[in-house]
Amino acid sequence: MKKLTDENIETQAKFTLKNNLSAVSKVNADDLNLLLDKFELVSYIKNTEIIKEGDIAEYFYFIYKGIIKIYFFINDKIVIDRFEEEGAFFGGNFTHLTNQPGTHVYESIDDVLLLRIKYEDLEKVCKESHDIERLYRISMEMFHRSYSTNLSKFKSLSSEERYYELIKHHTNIINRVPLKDIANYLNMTPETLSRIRAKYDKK
Amino acid sequence: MNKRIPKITDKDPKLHLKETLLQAAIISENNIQKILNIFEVVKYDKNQQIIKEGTVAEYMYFISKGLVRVYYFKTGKEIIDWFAEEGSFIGNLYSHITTKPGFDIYEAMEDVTLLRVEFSDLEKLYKESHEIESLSRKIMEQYYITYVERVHNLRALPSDEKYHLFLKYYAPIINRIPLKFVAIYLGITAETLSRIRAK
Repeated sequence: MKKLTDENIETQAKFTLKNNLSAVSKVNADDLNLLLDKFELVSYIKNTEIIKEGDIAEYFYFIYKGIIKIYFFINDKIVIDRFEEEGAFFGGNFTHLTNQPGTHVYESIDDVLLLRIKYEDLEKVCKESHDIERLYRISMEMFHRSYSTNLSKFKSLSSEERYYELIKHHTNIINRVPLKDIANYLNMTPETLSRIRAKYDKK
Repeated sequence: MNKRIPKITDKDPKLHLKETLLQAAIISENNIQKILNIFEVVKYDKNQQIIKEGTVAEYMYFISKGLVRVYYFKTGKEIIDWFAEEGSFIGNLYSHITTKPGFDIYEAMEDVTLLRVEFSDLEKLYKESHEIESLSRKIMEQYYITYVERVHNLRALPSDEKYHLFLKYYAPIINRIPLKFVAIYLGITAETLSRIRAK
């Protein structure tokens, strides 16, 4: 990991984060700046484990550039839980609350630029500012919703249907994530995925 | 409404709710009372639908007594999302956030006693009280953790391991869940389930 000293990039990243947060709920400017001040820019080259298995996560991250894959192991086999792309947040599945070592690995797929905040700082700002607490509460509901939708889709859609969902809603992932990772995520072999792709391309 | 459960005063479910809230965060008595005041007791008989498919979520519920099954249909096939037990909060968050009709059905598996609150009344309290908003966020975090665990458990495991995890996860209520629902939940046939259980 590298802490970036390039203030320009950090300013841009925070500007993006600020816009994204403002779209979630109305926050007064001072409080929002208080929150943004606690974030710092970090970069990782591709294929780096940002949060390792067994870690108790200390930071909450915002993805400014790049894609993250999140996976865990079952009998030494990698199972990809999900991908997170630009504009998303991730944070070690709240292991800081349970104090249990995390079961998931968070790894960069390409070179990534992230903004991160310490959970204890986030808690502090939430305590100080009702607006930020609201922002976080609404964001939590949204994470919850998107994660539960994912679970439902995993249970109700076939692998092929889930592939079409990716093509429709997550072109970024289709274009930038290696095929073997997409196949793993869809719970199919790379060969099956190639066959489905060939079928789709003909359409 | 329910006849078998002895007549319970409104206070009991609210006490249950109070205890559950206090487990999530430290919160002043004054705010606890404000929360309890906006909840009302409702009862449903076994097999009654509490939230129907295609409705926009209006209420959030707290289960004081009974089990609730959350499911939906996918091309005519039933898919069970989860079983919610005493002490759980339920409500269609997807529908509430998007204000679109929800797909999930919430159905009483036993006679149930619930506390319900209108989302809009909750929102008002959040606005009024920083402490209550914070409490709600902390409960959401806890629910997120359980979701992550469930996805973790369900993915890519062979059926028999899924069943064992299911037993572990739902241990306190396992005897109250009919086997046919267990099979649906695990996405396996009743025959496969019997075979796994025999082992």
